Amino acid sequence: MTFRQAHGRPERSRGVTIDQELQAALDVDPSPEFLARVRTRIANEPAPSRWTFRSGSPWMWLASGAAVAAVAIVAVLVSRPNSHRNVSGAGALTARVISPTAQMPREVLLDPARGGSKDPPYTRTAVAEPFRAADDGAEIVVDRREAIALRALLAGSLLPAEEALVVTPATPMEIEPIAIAPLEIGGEGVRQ
Amino acid sequence: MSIGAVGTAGKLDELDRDFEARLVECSRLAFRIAYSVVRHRQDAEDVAQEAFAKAYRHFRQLRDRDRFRAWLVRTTWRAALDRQRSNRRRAAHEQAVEEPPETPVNESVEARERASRLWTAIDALPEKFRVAIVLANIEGHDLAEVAALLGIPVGTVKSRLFFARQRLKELLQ
Repeated sequence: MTFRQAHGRPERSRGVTIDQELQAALDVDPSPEFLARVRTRIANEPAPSRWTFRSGSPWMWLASGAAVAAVAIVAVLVSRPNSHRNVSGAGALTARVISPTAQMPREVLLDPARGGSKDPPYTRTAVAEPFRAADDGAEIVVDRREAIALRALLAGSLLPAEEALVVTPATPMEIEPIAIAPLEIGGEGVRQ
Repeated sequence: MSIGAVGTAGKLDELDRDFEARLVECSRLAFRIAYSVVRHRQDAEDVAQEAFAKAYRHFRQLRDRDRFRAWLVRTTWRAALDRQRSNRRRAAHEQAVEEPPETPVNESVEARERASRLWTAIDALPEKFRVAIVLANIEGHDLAEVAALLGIPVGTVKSRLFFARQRLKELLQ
């Protein structure tokens, strides 16, 4: 049923007239070359896209780039040697402790005359150990003479016990009275 | 002449055959919609051609027949409005646009004048009333078909047609 058949009621004569006039005005056909022109135009168009979103869309390029980057990262992580992974895994969260002697020259540390020890005071190692501030006995290198002096000072004397001074009671000093001669004063008002 | 005959051999596939069927079926519809706006045969053909080219680019999402027709109607209508505005802006075309619509040579002066008044009244309608009454008077569309093409309920189409006729009566009296 067409629109005119559905609404062509007699009481709407003017409305029907308007519809008839409009139908007559729109009863125009395209030229015979129209379809051929459209086909020619479409033949020059790119083929309809095979994807949901158009090729050349920025989103397509972004998604492709992100996928390639993700694959590259995974490939790099998988191809890494195991040793590298162990070192990086162990040292990631623990700090490496180096004793304070680490900055001293090695010959000083090894010279017994300077209070050094033949044993190496420290070793550089890649295996990290947790920091123990209280009981690791951090070695402090001090010259032996300085150490003796410090101990003596702390014991109350700067000298060894055998060389300590004998303290004797002091003898009382005899104090002589001071004699002061009396002043000789001339007559009052006399210039001396 | 088929699309495949004009285009490359690789293009002749099912998609092109479907589009060829839609083109043959809807070419007059698109042309008449464009003509109802621009009122110029050559301009209407250009507008319809652009609409079909655009439809071809999106045809994978428009293979459904009803969806294709509705999409083509809306696209052609908007393209025709754009062409009409640009024609009015161009001084060279201003004279042609202001001319009365093309009418047969043997039509009387009175008929020409009546057609001119009709188009003037239709142009004065709000756009939603205008497209409804145009679609209702081409291709023998019924209410349901107009509603499907516009994507609105049938009752809305009825009310729009009623107000459009009322307004046209006032303008033509």
